[in-house]
Amino acid sequence: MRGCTIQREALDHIDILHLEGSLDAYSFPQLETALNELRELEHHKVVLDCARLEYISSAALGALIGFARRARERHGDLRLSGVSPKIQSIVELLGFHKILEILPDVETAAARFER
Amino acid sequence: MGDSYQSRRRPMVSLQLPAALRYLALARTATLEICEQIGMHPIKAAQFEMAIDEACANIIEHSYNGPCAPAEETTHPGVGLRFFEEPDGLLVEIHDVGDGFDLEGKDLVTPQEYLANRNERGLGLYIIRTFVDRMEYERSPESGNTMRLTKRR
Repeated sequence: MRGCTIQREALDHIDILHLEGSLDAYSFPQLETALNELRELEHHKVVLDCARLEYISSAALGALIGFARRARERHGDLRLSGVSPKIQSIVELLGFHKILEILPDVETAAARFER
Repeated sequence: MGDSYQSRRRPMVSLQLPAALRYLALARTATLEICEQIGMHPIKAAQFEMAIDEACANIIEHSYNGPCAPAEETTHPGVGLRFFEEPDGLLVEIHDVGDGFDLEGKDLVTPQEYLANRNERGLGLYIIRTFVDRMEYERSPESGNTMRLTKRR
């Protein structure tokens, strides 16, 4: 059964996680591993490329919120880009867009770290 | 409560999934496909997809206290899903024979509490309750547990 592929790309001082597939309870450990690796590396500026993300569970959203909060305490952040209208509607319905900033694409999200 | 799980009219689609998390995708795919077939708005279908996913994940993780062993996937009772078209939308019945769970219990947190308390888990029951238009839950040690979730078009 198809899970989620997570590929990390380093762009100057920013890490971009390219997600493809679904982040559900089955693939959640992959996301946890990827976020834990970034924490251990002290990498706190992260863009999550969601252009090919088809589904995200509440547990995965919770992990992103937890990472974003810790990152902000260390002058970083976690931002989402390329989110589908379907996933954006879920994030907004839960009010999580107040914590997780959503930008249209990776370039715009990465550029926000430069300001 | 409505009719028992066994005695209802014939569903549009039935799925019997092993109690393993990798089959959650199958439950979501079926939900989205059937929502589209009955003409449900895609944003409502996405909410229903998430409610069904969270319900099935909760059953595996809490009612069954974790996924079954890979060797038991074809013998373990698993999770049954039955899809019924209703005059105003879609009803999905989800059945298991695990311990069930207390939907009125303290684990039901709102997104506001969730954010304020810095929890990273525990929002599943809130999503199940609020992303559907009607929810019923029957918990029975004899016949198992049935969750009925209805979403209007």
